[in-house]
Amino acid sequence: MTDLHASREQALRFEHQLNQIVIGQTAAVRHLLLAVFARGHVLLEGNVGVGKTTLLRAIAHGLGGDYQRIEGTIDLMPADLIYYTYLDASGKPRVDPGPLLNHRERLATFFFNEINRARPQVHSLLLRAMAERSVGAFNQTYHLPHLQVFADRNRVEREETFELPAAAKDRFMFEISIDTPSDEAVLQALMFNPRYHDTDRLVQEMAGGQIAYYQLNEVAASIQAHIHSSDKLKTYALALWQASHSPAKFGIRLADVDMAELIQAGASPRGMSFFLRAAKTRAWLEGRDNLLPEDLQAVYAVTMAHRIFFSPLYAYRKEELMPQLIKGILAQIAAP
Amino acid sequence: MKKWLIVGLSLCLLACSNAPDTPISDFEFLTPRPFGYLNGDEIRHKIILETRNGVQLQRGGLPKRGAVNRWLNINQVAVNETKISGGFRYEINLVYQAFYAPLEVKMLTIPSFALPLAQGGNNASQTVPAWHFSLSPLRELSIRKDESGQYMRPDAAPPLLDNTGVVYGLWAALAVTLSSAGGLAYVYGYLPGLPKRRVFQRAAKRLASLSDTQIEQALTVFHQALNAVNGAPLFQHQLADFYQRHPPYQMADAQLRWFFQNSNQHFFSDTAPSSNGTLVNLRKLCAACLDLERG
Repeated sequence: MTDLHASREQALRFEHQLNQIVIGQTAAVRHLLLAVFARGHVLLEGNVGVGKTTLLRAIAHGLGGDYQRIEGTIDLMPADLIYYTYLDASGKPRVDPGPLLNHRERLATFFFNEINRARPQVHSLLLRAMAERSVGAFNQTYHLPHLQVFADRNRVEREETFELPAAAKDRFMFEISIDTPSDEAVLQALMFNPRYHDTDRLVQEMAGGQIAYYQLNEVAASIQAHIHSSDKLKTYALALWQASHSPAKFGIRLADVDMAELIQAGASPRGMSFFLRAAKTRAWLEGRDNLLPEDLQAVYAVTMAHRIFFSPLYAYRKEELMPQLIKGILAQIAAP
Repeated sequence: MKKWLIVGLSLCLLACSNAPDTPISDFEFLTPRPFGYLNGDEIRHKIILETRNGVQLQRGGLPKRGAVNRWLNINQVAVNETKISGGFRYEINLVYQAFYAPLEVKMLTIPSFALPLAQGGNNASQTVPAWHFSLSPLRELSIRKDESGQYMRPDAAPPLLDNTGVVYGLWAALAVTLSSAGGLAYVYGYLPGLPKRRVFQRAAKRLASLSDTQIEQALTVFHQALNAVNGAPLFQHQLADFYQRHPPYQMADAQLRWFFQNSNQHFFSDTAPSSNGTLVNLRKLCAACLDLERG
C-alpha cells in the first residue's frame, strides 16, 4: 500500500527544489508536478530561453530513470526515433535502437524539443507511444511503462513548422505556457547570479532520484483511488466540460464573437478524464481526500485550452479569445 | 342790569326744563348713503344710545339675525355696552343685506323697530326710524341686440397672487422628501431597480422559511446571495479578491470562511458535518451581511 502522505511530503519537497532551480515559474512548476503525479504528458509552450529545458532536466534528474531528448527537425522521420543504422568498426552494417527504444523500461522522461518542427508522421508515431506507452518495432512490441513525454514548441517562429494534429494534442494532458518572468528581482538574479548561468551544475545541485520513477504509476493510481468526489462536484465538473462545447448555453459571452459559431470542437472525453485526474492530484497535493471546485478550476485552463478548437472564422484570434473563454467559463458556472 | 339777570334765570330754567326724567339722554342713528346699492350689498347701521338713571336696554327686544322679510336679512347684530355717569352707553351695529333684484331703480325701506328699555318695573322704548334707500338693477331690463352677447360677460379673472416663492419652497420640500424617501428605500433595499441592495434581505427571508433538515437548500441560498453580490460565482479562494471589490464584507471574514468550509463539507465531502447550529449561524451571518449591505 502506497503511503500517500509520505509521497505528498516528497512531492512538495521536490516542488520546492524545482522552484529553487528555475525561479519565477511557480505556476508552471506546480503544473509539471501535477502532470508527473497524474502520469500525463505535457506540451510546453513558451519563448526561447525561459528555462523549459532546464526545468525538464531537473525533473528528470529528480525522478531518476533515464532521460532522452530529441530535437524536432523537418527531416526527422519516425524511424529515426526507433532505430539508427551505421557501419561498425569492422565495416559491418549495424542496427541499434533509437532514442525511444534505447532505454526500454528505464525511460522515464522523453523530451521532444521543438515538436512542431517535426513532420506529422513523427507526430503519429508519438500517438501510440503516449497513449499506450508502447512502440512496435522489429516485429515486436516494446513497453515503456514509465514514459512521460514533454514536448516543447516555441511560439516565436512559425516558418517550417507543422501544427500538431488534434489527435496528437489530445494525448497531452497539459499544455503549459512558460513565460518570461516579470518580477524584477527574479530577472536580476537570472542576469547577475552566476548560479543560474551554468545549468549543468544547477541541475546537479538537486538530489537525484528522490522520487522513484518506477513507483509513480502506483502512486498515481493510489491518488486517483484515494480522492473522492461528491455528486455535486461531478455535476460541476460535467458543466465545465459541457461549457467547452457549448459556452453559450451557460451564458458565456465574448465581445465581438457569435458564440453559436465560435466552437468547432470542445474537449474530448479523454480530456475530461485527464481533467479529473489532474484535479484529484491537486487535491492530494493540497492535503485533502476530497475534490473541491477550486481543484477543477486550478487545472481547467491547462487541460482544456489545447482541446478546444475554434471555427476557422475565429481560429486566428485564438490567443486572444481562448483566455477570455476559459475565464468566462470559470466565472459563470457556479458550484453548487 | 336787572333786565340781564332775568334773561339769565330764564335760560337756566329753560335748560332745566329739558325733561330730566326722560330715560334717554342721547340717541343717534348713523346711516350710510341712501342710494347706489345693488342686489346683495350689505348696509351698515349704527345706533348710539345713552340712558340715564340706570335705565338699561332690553337686549331680548333687539332684532335677531336672520330674515327680516323676503328680501332683507340681518347678518350681524352687535351691542357694545359701557357705563357712563348715571346710565349706560350702547353702541348697536346692525349689518343688513338686501336681496332684491329690481328691474329699475327702486326705493326700498328697512323697517322701523323699537329699542325696549327698562328700569326696575318701569318700561320705555326708543323707536329707530325706518330707513329708505334706493336699489339699482345690475343691468338693463333687456340686452341690446347689437351687443351680440358681449354685454353679458363674466368679470375678468382676478390676478393671481405672486406665489413663486411658495412654489419654489414646495418643490424644494418635495425634492428633500423624495430624496430622503429614496435614500431610505435604498438603505432598506426596497428599490426594485437595485437588486443587489436586496440580496441579503431576500436571502434572510428564504432562510427564515427553512428548517434544520434543509441545510443544503440554506447553504445554496446563501451561495446564491454571495454570487449575486459578486456578480459571478464566488469560491473560497476568491475571497481576497472579493474583499477588494466589496471592502465592507471583510468585517465578516471569519464567518464567511466558516460558511465556505461548512459548504465544502456539506457538498463535496463524503462525511457531511453535523448540521446542529448551522442554520442558526447561517441566519446570523446573513443578518450581518444584511447590515453590511445596508451600510
